[in-house]
Amino acid sequence: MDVKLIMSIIVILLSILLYILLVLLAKKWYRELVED
Amino acid sequence: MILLEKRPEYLKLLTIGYGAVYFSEGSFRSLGIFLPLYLIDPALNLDLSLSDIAFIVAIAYIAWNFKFILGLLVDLTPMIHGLRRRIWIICGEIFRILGILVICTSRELLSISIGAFIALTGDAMIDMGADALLIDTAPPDWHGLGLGAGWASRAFGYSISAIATVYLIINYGWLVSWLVFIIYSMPVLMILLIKEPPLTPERRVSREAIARTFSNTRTAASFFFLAFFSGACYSLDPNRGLLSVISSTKLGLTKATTVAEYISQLPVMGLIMASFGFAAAIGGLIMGAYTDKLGHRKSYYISLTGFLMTLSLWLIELEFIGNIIYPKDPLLGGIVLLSGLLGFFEGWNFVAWETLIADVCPPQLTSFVFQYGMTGTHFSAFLVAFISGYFLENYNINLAITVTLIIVSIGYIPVLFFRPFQTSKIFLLGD
Repeated sequence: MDVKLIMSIIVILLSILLYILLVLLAKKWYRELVED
Repeated sequence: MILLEKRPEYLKLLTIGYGAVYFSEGSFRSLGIFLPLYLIDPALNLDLSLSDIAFIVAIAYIAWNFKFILGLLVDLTPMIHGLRRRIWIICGEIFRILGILVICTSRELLSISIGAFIALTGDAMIDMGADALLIDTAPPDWHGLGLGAGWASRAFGYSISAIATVYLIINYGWLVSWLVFIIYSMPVLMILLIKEPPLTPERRVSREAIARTFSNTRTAASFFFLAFFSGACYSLDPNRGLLSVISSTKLGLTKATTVAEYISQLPVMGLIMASFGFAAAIGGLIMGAYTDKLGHRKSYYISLTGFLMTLSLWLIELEFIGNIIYPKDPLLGGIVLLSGLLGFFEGWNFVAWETLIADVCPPQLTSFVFQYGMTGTHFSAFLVAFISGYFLENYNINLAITVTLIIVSIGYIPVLFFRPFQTSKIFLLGD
Protein backbone atom coordinates (compact mmCIF):
# COMPACT_ATOMS: atom_id res chain seq x y z
CA MET A 1 0.00 0.00 0.00
CA ASP A 2 1.08 3.59 -0.65
CA VAL A 3 3.19 4.91 2.27
CA LYS A 4 1.46 8.30 2.15
CA LEU A 5 -1.88 6.58 2.53
CA ILE A 6 -0.70 4.51 5.52
CA MET A 7 0.82 7.59 7.16
CA SER A 8 -2.37 9.61 6.65
CA ILE A 9 -4.55 6.85 8.13
CA ILE A 10 -2.25 6.53 11.19
CA VAL A 11 -2.29 10.30 11.77
CA ILE A 12 -6.06 10.53 11.42
CA LEU A 13 -6.74 7.62 13.76
CA LEU A 14 -4.24 8.93 16.29
CA SER A 15 -5.67 12.46 16.22
CA ILE A 16 -9.21 11.13 16.73
CA LEU A 17 -8.08 8.81 19.54
CA LEU A 18 -6.17 11.60 21.27
CA TYR A 19 -9.21 13.87 21.08
CA ILE A 20 -11.50 11.22 22.61
CA LEU A 21 -8.98 10.66 25.42
CA LEU A 22 -8.75 14.41 25.97
CA VAL A 23 -12.53 14.72 26.28
CA LEU A 24 -12.67 11.79 28.74
CA LEU A 25 -9.83 13.25 30.79
CA ALA A 26 -11.47 16.69 30.75
CA LYS A 27 -14.74 15.16 32.01
CA LYS A 28 -12.90 13.45 34.87
CA TRP A 29 -11.05 16.65 35.81
CA TYR A 30 -14.24 18.69 35.56
CA ARG A 31 -16.01 16.33 38.00
CA GLU A 32 -13.08 16.69 40.42
CA LEU A 33 -13.16 20.47 39.99
CA VAL A 34 -16.89 20.67 40.76
CA GLU A 35 -16.55 18.35 43.79
CA ASP A 36 -13.74 20.52 45.19
CA MET B 1 -9.38 38.98 31.42
CA ILE B 2 -7.06 38.41 28.46
CA LEU B 3 -5.37 41.48 27.02
CA LEU B 4 -5.65 41.94 23.28
CA GLU B 5 -3.91 44.51 21.13
CA LYS B 6 -6.04 47.34 19.72
CA ARG B 7 -3.27 49.73 18.69
CA PRO B 8 -3.40 50.14 14.87
CA GLU B 9 0.41 50.43 14.56
CA TYR B 10 0.87 47.14 16.43
CA LEU B 11 -1.76 45.36 14.33
CA LYS B 12 -0.20 46.77 11.15
CA LEU B 13 3.22 45.42 12.15
CA LEU B 14 1.64 42.09 13.11
CA THR B 15 -0.09 41.85 9.69
CA ILE B 16 3.17 42.55 7.86
CA GLY B 17 5.16 40.17 10.05
CA TYR B 18 2.59 37.37 9.76
CA GLY B 19 2.35 37.97 6.00
CA ALA B 20 6.17 37.76 5.74
CA VAL B 21 6.16 34.42 7.59
CA TYR B 22 3.56 33.01 5.26
CA PHE B 23 5.24 34.38 2.12
CA SER B 24 8.37 32.61 3.30
CA GLU B 25 6.41 29.46 4.05
CA GLY B 26 4.72 29.40 0.65
CA SER B 27 8.04 29.74 -1.18
CA PHE B 28 9.99 27.43 1.16
CA ARG B 29 7.36 24.68 1.05
CA SER B 30 7.98 24.27 -2.70
CA LEU B 31 10.75 22.06 -1.33
CA GLY B 32 8.03 19.39 -1.38
CA ILE B 33 7.74 19.86 -5.18
CA PHE B 34 11.46 20.06 -5.95
CA LEU B 35 12.81 17.39 -3.60
CA PRO B 36 11.26 14.49 -5.61
CA LEU B 37 12.65 15.99 -8.84
CA TYR B 38 16.09 16.34 -7.22
CA LEU B 39 16.08 12.73 -5.98
CA ILE B 40 15.43 11.35 -9.47
CA ASP B 41 18.05 13.58 -11.09
CA PRO B 42 20.42 11.19 -12.95
CA ALA B 43 23.45 13.20 -11.70
CA LEU B 44 22.82 11.91 -8.16
CA ASN B 45 22.68 8.30 -9.37
CA LEU B 46 20.40 7.19 -6.51
CA ASP B 47 18.27 4.79 -8.59
CA LEU B 48 15.04 5.30 -6.61
CA SER B 49 11.53 4.13 -7.46
CA LEU B 50 8.55 6.47 -7.19
CA SER B 51 7.39 4.69 -4.03
CA ASP B 52 10.85 5.19 -2.43
CA ILE B 53 10.56 8.91 -3.14
CA ALA B 54 7.01 9.04 -1.76
CA PHE B 55 8.31 7.38 1.42
CA ILE B 56 11.19 9.89 1.83
CA VAL B 57 8.85 12.86 1.30
CA ALA B 58 6.26 11.39 3.72
CA ILE B 59 8.93 10.97 6.42
CA ALA B 60 10.21 14.52 5.81
CA TYR B 61 6.66 15.82 6.41
CA ILE B 62 6.09 13.86 9.63
CA ALA B 63 6.19 16.93 11.93
CA TRP B 64 3.41 18.50 9.84
CA ASN B 65 1.25 15.45 10.45
CA PHE B 66 1.70 15.68 14.22
CA LYS B 67 1.24 19.43 14.56
CA PHE B 68 -1.61 18.98 17.04
CA ILE B 69 0.81 17.30 19.49
CA LEU B 70 3.51 19.89 18.82
CA GLY B 71 0.83 22.57 19.33
CA LEU B 72 0.42 21.37 22.91
CA LEU B 73 4.20 21.73 23.41
CA VAL B 74 3.98 25.28 22.02
CA ASP B 75 1.33 26.08 24.66
CA LEU B 76 3.45 24.50 27.40
CA THR B 77 6.51 26.60 26.48
CA PRO B 78 7.43 29.11 29.23
CA MET B 79 8.28 32.76 28.62
CA ILE B 80 12.06 33.21 28.39
CA HIS B 81 13.36 36.79 28.18
CA GLY B 82 10.13 37.99 26.57
CA LEU B 83 10.17 35.13 24.03
CA ARG B 84 7.60 32.34 24.01
CA ARG B 85 6.03 31.81 20.57
CA ARG B 86 9.10 33.35 18.98
CA ILE B 87 11.33 30.65 20.51
CA TRP B 88 9.64 28.23 18.09
CA ILE B 89 10.08 30.66 15.20
CA ILE B 90 13.81 31.17 15.91
CA CYS B 91 14.46 27.43 16.38
CA GLY B 92 12.41 26.67 13.25
CA GLU B 93 14.44 29.12 11.17
CA ILE B 94 17.70 27.55 12.41
CA PHE B 95 16.31 24.11 11.49
CA ARG B 96 15.30 25.30 8.01
CA ILE B 97 18.72 26.75 7.22
CA LEU B 98 20.50 23.72 8.66
CA GLY B 99 18.27 21.35 6.68
CA ILE B 100 18.96 23.14 3.39
CA LEU B 101 22.71 23.17 4.06
CA VAL B 102 22.59 19.40 4.71
CA ILE B 103 20.63 18.81 1.48
CA CYS B 104 22.90 20.87 -0.74
CA THR B 105 26.18 19.53 0.65
CA SER B 106 25.18 15.84 0.54
CA ARG B 107 25.23 13.24 -2.20
CA GLU B 108 24.02 10.37 0.02
CA LEU B 109 20.34 9.47 0.19
CA LEU B 110 20.27 9.22 4.00
CA SER B 111 21.82 12.68 4.47
CA ILE B 112 19.48 14.28 1.93
CA SER B 113 16.47 12.65 3.65
CA ILE B 114 17.65 13.86 7.08
CA GLY B 115 18.20 17.35 5.65
CA ALA B 116 14.66 17.42 4.22
CA PHE B 117 13.25 16.17 7.53
CA ILE B 118 15.09 18.89 9.50
CA ALA B 119 14.06 21.64 7.03
CA LEU B 120 10.37 20.71 6.99
CA THR B 121 10.26 20.18 10.76
CA GLY B 122 11.63 23.71 11.13
CA ASP B 123 8.96 24.92 8.72
CA ALA B 124 6.22 23.37 10.90
CA MET B 125 7.72 24.99 14.03
CA ILE B 126 7.66 28.44 12.40
CA ASP B 127 4.10 27.97 11.20
CA MET B 128 2.86 27.03 14.68
CA GLY B 129 4.74 29.83 16.42
CA ALA B 130 3.42 32.48 14.04
CA ASP B 131 -0.19 31.24 14.22
CA ALA B 132 -0.12 31.24 18.02
CA LEU B 133 1.45 34.71 18.17
CA LEU B 134 -1.24 36.13 15.90
CA ILE B 135 -4.16 34.58 17.80
CA ASP B 136 -2.58 35.52 21.16
CA THR B 137 -2.69 39.21 20.41
CA ALA B 138 -5.24 39.98 17.68
CA PRO B 139 -8.85 40.83 18.54
CA PRO B 140 -11.42 38.45 16.93
CA ASP B 141 -12.79 41.16 14.63
CA TRP B 142 -9.33 41.33 13.12
CA HIS B 143 -8.81 37.57 12.58
CA GLY B 144 -10.03 37.74 8.96
CA LEU B 145 -7.56 40.44 7.95
CA GLY B 146 -4.64 38.89 9.85
CA LEU B 147 -5.18 35.30 8.71
CA GLY B 148 -6.11 36.56 5.23
CA ALA B 149 -2.80 38.43 4.96
CA GLY B 150 -1.04 35.16 5.79
CA TRP B 151 -2.98 33.06 3.28
CA ALA B 152 -2.53 35.68 0.56
CA SER B 153 1.21 35.93 1.16
CA ARG B 154 1.52 32.16 1.13
CA ALA B 155 -0.21 32.03 -2.28
CA PHE B 156 2.21 34.67 -3.63
CA GLY B 157 5.10 32.71 -2.17
CA TYR B 158 4.29 29.39 -3.85
CA SER B 159 3.31 31.03 -7.15
CA ILE B 160 6.59 32.94 -7.35
CA SER B 161 8.87 30.14 -6.18
CA ALA B 162 7.32 27.58 -8.58
CA ILE B 163 8.53 29.77 -11.45
CA ALA B 164 11.74 31.24 -9.94
CA THR B 165 13.14 27.91 -8.67
CA VAL B 166 12.72 26.23 -12.07
CA TYR B 167 14.48 29.16 -13.72
CA LEU B 168 17.36 28.77 -11.24
CA ILE B 169 17.59 24.99 -11.74
CA ILE B 170 17.80 25.39 -15.53
CA ASN B 171 20.32 28.22 -15.50
CA TYR B 172 22.44 27.68 -12.38
CA GLY B 173 21.91 24.08 -11.26
CA TRP B 174 20.73 22.48 -8.05
CA LEU B 175 23.31 23.91 -5.62
CA VAL B 176 22.37 27.54 -6.27
CA SER B 177 18.67 26.62 -6.30
CA TRP B 178 18.89 24.97 -2.88
CA LEU B 179 20.84 27.92 -1.48
CA VAL B 180 18.05 30.22 -2.67
CA PHE B 181 15.75 28.32 -0.28
CA ILE B 182 17.73 30.00 2.51
CA ILE B 183 16.74 33.35 0.99
CA TYR B 184 13.12 32.14 0.80
CA SER B 185 13.33 31.42 4.53
CA MET B 186 14.58 34.89 5.53
CA PRO B 187 11.36 37.01 5.52
CA VAL B 188 10.35 35.07 8.63
CA LEU B 189 12.72 37.26 10.67
CA MET B 190 10.22 40.14 10.31
CA ILE B 191 7.96 38.62 12.94
CA LEU B 192 10.75 38.76 15.52
CA LEU B 193 10.09 42.52 15.77
CA ILE B 194 6.70 41.85 17.33
CA LYS B 195 6.47 42.01 21.10
CA GLU B 196 4.66 39.14 22.75
CA PRO B 197 2.01 39.57 25.48
CA PRO B 198 3.01 38.54 29.04
CA LEU B 199 2.36 34.96 30.13
CA THR B 200 -0.38 35.65 32.67
CA PRO B 201 -2.29 32.82 34.46
CA GLU B 202 -5.10 33.35 31.91
CA ARG B 203 -2.72 32.19 29.17
CA ARG B 204 -1.11 29.27 31.01
CA VAL B 205 -2.13 25.66 30.30
CA SER B 206 -3.87 24.23 33.35
CA ARG B 207 -5.92 21.21 34.37
CA GLU B 208 -8.87 23.58 34.90
CA ALA B 209 -8.55 25.04 31.39
CA ILE B 210 -8.60 21.57 29.83
CA ALA B 211 -11.53 20.51 32.05
CA ARG B 212 -13.60 23.59 31.22
CA THR B 213 -12.78 23.44 27.49
CA PHE B 214 -13.33 19.80 26.59
CA SER B 215 -15.71 18.41 29.24
CA ASN B 216 -18.84 19.52 27.40
CA THR B 217 -19.38 16.70 24.90
CA ARG B 218 -21.59 18.78 22.63
CA THR B 219 -19.15 21.66 22.13
CA ALA B 220 -16.19 19.28 21.93
CA ALA B 221 -17.95 17.21 19.25
CA SER B 222 -19.05 20.31 17.33
CA PHE B 223 -15.45 21.56 17.24
CA PHE B 224 -14.23 18.17 16.04
CA PHE B 225 -16.69 18.17 13.13
CA LEU B 226 -15.86 21.79 12.29
CA ALA B 227 -12.18 20.91 12.17
CA PHE B 228 -12.52 17.67 10.22
CA PHE B 229 -15.30 18.39 7.73
CA SER B 230 -15.48 22.12 7.00
CA GLY B 231 -12.09 23.00 5.52
CA ALA B 232 -12.26 20.65 2.53
CA CYS B 233 -11.88 23.45 -0.04
CA TYR B 234 -8.19 23.23 0.87
CA SER B 235 -8.04 19.95 -1.07
CA LEU B 236 -7.88 22.02 -4.27
CA ASP B 237 -4.87 24.03 -3.06
CA PRO B 238 -2.10 23.76 -5.72
CA ASN B 239 0.32 22.30 -3.15
CA ARG B 240 -2.00 19.31 -2.57
CA GLY B 241 -1.73 18.15 -6.19
CA LEU B 242 -5.43 17.47 -6.89
CA LEU B 243 -5.92 20.67 -8.91
CA SER B 244 -2.99 19.80 -11.18
CA VAL B 245 -4.37 16.26 -11.62
CA ILE B 246 -7.83 17.60 -12.57
CA SER B 247 -6.35 20.29 -14.87
CA SER B 248 -3.88 17.97 -16.57
CA THR B 249 -6.57 15.29 -17.07
CA LYS B 250 -8.84 17.87 -18.69
CA LEU B 251 -5.89 18.94 -20.88
CA GLY B 252 -4.81 15.35 -21.60
CA LEU B 253 -1.35 15.69 -19.97
CA THR B 254 0.46 13.00 -17.96
CA LYS B 255 1.98 13.60 -14.48
CA ALA B 256 5.53 14.99 -14.66
CA THR B 257 8.07 12.63 -13.07
CA THR B 258 11.32 14.20 -14.32
CA VAL B 259 12.73 17.72 -14.33
CA ALA B 260 12.56 17.72 -18.15
CA GLU B 261 8.85 16.76 -18.13
CA TYR B 262 8.15 19.26 -15.38
CA ILE B 263 9.83 22.02 -17.39
CA SER B 264 7.99 21.08 -20.58
CA GLN B 265 4.63 21.31 -18.76
CA LEU B 266 5.57 24.39 -16.76
CA PRO B 267 4.23 27.09 -19.11
CA VAL B 268 0.74 25.56 -19.09
CA MET B 269 0.62 24.20 -15.52
CA GLY B 270 2.42 27.30 -14.19
CA LEU B 271 -0.25 29.50 -15.77
CA ILE B 272 -3.03 27.47 -14.15
CA MET B 273 -1.33 27.40 -10.73
CA ALA B 274 -0.42 31.10 -10.92
CA SER B 275 -4.01 31.95 -11.86
CA PHE B 276 -5.24 30.02 -8.80
CA GLY B 277 -2.49 31.36 -6.54
CA PHE B 278 -2.84 35.05 -7.35
CA ALA B 279 -6.65 34.85 -7.17
CA ALA B 280 -6.36 33.00 -3.81
CA ALA B 281 -4.15 35.86 -2.62
CA ILE B 282 -6.80 38.43 -3.56
CA GLY B 283 -9.61 36.30 -2.10
CA GLY B 284 -7.68 35.65 1.11
CA LEU B 285 -6.66 39.24 1.77
CA ILE B 286 -9.56 41.38 0.54
CA MET B 287 -12.36 38.98 1.42
CA GLY B 288 -10.55 38.09 4.65
CA ALA B 289 -10.85 41.73 5.71
CA TYR B 290 -14.48 41.74 4.52
CA THR B 291 -15.12 38.59 6.57
CA ASP B 292 -14.50 40.61 9.74
CA LYS B 293 -17.22 43.08 8.71
CA LEU B 294 -19.70 40.54 7.37
CA GLY B 295 -19.42 38.03 10.22
CA HIS B 296 -17.22 34.96 10.16
CA ARG B 297 -19.97 32.35 9.87
CA LYS B 298 -21.93 34.23 7.20
CA SER B 299 -18.75 34.78 5.20
CA TYR B 300 -18.03 31.05 5.38
CA TYR B 301 -21.46 30.16 3.92
CA ILE B 302 -21.21 32.69 1.06
CA SER B 303 -17.65 31.74 0.10
CA LEU B 304 -18.43 28.01 0.25
CA THR B 305 -21.42 28.54 -2.04
CA GLY B 306 -19.20 30.45 -4.48
CA PHE B 307 -16.58 27.70 -4.34
CA LEU B 308 -19.15 24.96 -5.06
CA MET B 309 -20.75 26.93 -7.90
CA THR B 310 -17.33 27.48 -9.50
CA LEU B 311 -16.36 23.85 -9.09
CA SER B 312 -19.61 22.74 -10.70
CA LEU B 313 -18.72 24.87 -13.74
CA TRP B 314 -15.80 22.44 -14.31
CA LEU B 315 -18.44 19.82 -15.13
CA ILE B 316 -19.84 21.66 -18.13
CA GLU B 317 -17.98 22.31 -21.36
CA LEU B 318 -14.85 24.25 -20.43
CA GLU B 319 -14.35 25.22 -24.07
CA PHE B 320 -17.65 27.10 -23.99
CA ILE B 321 -16.44 29.29 -21.10
CA GLY B 322 -12.91 29.59 -22.51
CA ASN B 323 -14.19 30.64 -25.90
CA ILE B 324 -15.43 33.88 -24.36
CA ILE B 325 -12.01 34.95 -23.03
CA TYR B 326 -9.45 33.09 -25.16
CA PRO B 327 -10.88 31.76 -28.46
CA LYS B 328 -7.39 30.66 -29.67
CA ASP B 329 -7.29 27.84 -27.11
CA PRO B 330 -10.73 27.70 -25.46
CA LEU B 331 -9.94 24.66 -23.28
CA LEU B 332 -6.87 26.25 -21.74
CA GLY B 333 -8.65 29.61 -21.45
CA GLY B 334 -11.56 27.93 -19.64
CA ILE B 335 -9.28 26.09 -17.22
CA VAL B 336 -7.20 29.20 -16.41
CA LEU B 337 -10.34 31.29 -15.83
CA LEU B 338 -12.00 28.68 -13.65
CA SER B 339 -8.74 28.06 -11.73
CA GLY B 340 -8.65 31.76 -10.95
CA LEU B 341 -12.26 31.78 -9.77
CA LEU B 342 -11.69 28.63 -7.73
CA GLY B 343 -8.57 30.18 -6.19
CA PHE B 344 -10.50 33.31 -5.22
CA PHE B 345 -13.20 31.34 -3.42
CA GLU B 346 -10.70 28.88 -1.91
CA GLY B 347 -8.66 31.76 -0.46
CA TRP B 348 -11.78 33.42 0.92
CA ASN B 349 -13.41 30.23 2.25
CA PHE B 350 -10.25 28.91 3.86
CA VAL B 351 -9.66 32.21 5.66
CA ALA B 352 -13.32 32.32 6.81
CA TRP B 353 -12.94 28.77 8.13
CA GLU B 354 -9.67 29.68 9.87
CA THR B 355 -11.36 32.64 11.58
CA LEU B 356 -13.98 30.28 13.03
CA ILE B 357 -11.22 28.07 14.44
CA ALA B 358 -9.23 31.09 15.73
CA ASP B 359 -12.35 32.54 17.40
CA VAL B 360 -12.80 29.45 19.57
CA CYS B 361 -9.18 29.08 20.68
CA PRO B 362 -9.01 29.30 24.49
CA PRO B 363 -6.12 31.64 25.51
CA GLN B 364 -4.56 28.76 27.50
CA LEU B 365 -4.71 26.28 24.61
CA THR B 366 -4.36 28.54 21.57
CA SER B 367 -1.79 26.54 19.66
CA PHE B 368 -3.24 23.11 20.46
CA VAL B 369 -6.79 24.02 19.38
CA PHE B 370 -5.70 25.91 16.24
CA GLN B 371 -3.29 23.16 15.17
CA TYR B 372 -5.93 20.52 15.84
CA GLY B 373 -8.08 22.44 13.38
CA MET B 374 -5.24 22.34 10.87
CA THR B 375 -4.91 18.58 11.36
CA GLY B 376 -8.60 18.39 10.58
CA THR B 377 -8.25 20.22 7.28
CA HIS B 378 -5.50 17.81 6.25
CA PHE B 379 -7.94 14.98 6.97
CA SER B 380 -10.64 16.54 4.79
CA ALA B 381 -8.12 17.22 2.00
CA PHE B 382 -6.92 13.63 2.26
CA LEU B 383 -10.50 12.35 2.16
CA VAL B 384 -11.25 14.33 -1.01
CA ALA B 385 -7.99 13.29 -2.70
CA PHE B 386 -8.43 9.63 -1.76
CA ILE B 387 -12.08 9.25 -2.81
CA SER B 388 -11.87 11.54 -5.86
CA GLY B 389 -8.60 9.85 -6.87
CA TYR B 390 -10.37 6.49 -6.78
CA PHE B 391 -13.19 7.74 -8.99
CA LEU B 392 -10.72 9.42 -11.36
CA GLU B 393 -8.68 6.24 -11.72
CA ASN B 394 -11.63 3.90 -12.14
CA TYR B 395 -14.31 6.04 -13.75
CA ASN B 396 -13.91 9.55 -15.18
CA ILE B 397 -12.92 13.10 -14.32
CA ASN B 398 -16.49 14.45 -14.12
CA LEU B 399 -17.49 11.81 -11.57
CA ALA B 400 -14.37 12.66 -9.53
CA ILE B 401 -15.34 16.37 -9.56
CA THR B 402 -18.92 15.49 -8.56
CA VAL B 403 -17.62 13.48 -5.59
CA THR B 404 -15.38 16.41 -4.62
CA LEU B 405 -18.43 18.70 -4.75
CA ILE B 406 -20.39 16.40 -2.44
CA ILE B 407 -17.59 16.08 0.14
CA VAL B 408 -16.83 19.83 0.19
CA SER B 409 -20.54 20.68 0.52
CA ILE B 410 -20.72 18.63 3.77
CA GLY B 411 -18.86 21.62 5.26
CA TYR B 412 -22.14 23.56 5.70
CA ILE B 413 -23.44 21.17 8.36
CA PRO B 414 -20.73 21.42 11.09
CA VAL B 415 -20.68 25.23 10.78
CA LEU B 416 -24.46 25.36 11.13
CA PHE B 417 -24.42 23.30 14.34
CA PHE B 418 -21.17 24.65 15.73
CA ARG B 419 -21.08 25.90 19.34
CA PRO B 420 -17.92 27.58 20.74
CA PHE B 421 -16.12 26.34 23.85
CA GLN B 422 -17.01 28.21 27.06
CA THR B 423 -13.32 29.06 27.43
CA SER B 424 -12.94 30.31 23.86
CA LYS B 425 -11.62 33.75 22.99
CA ILE B 426 -14.93 35.08 21.66
CA PHE B 427 -16.86 33.71 24.64
CA LEU B 428 -14.51 35.42 27.11
CA LEU B 429 -14.82 38.68 25.21
CA GLY B 430 -18.61 38.36 25.03
CA ASP B 431 -18.70 38.53 21.20
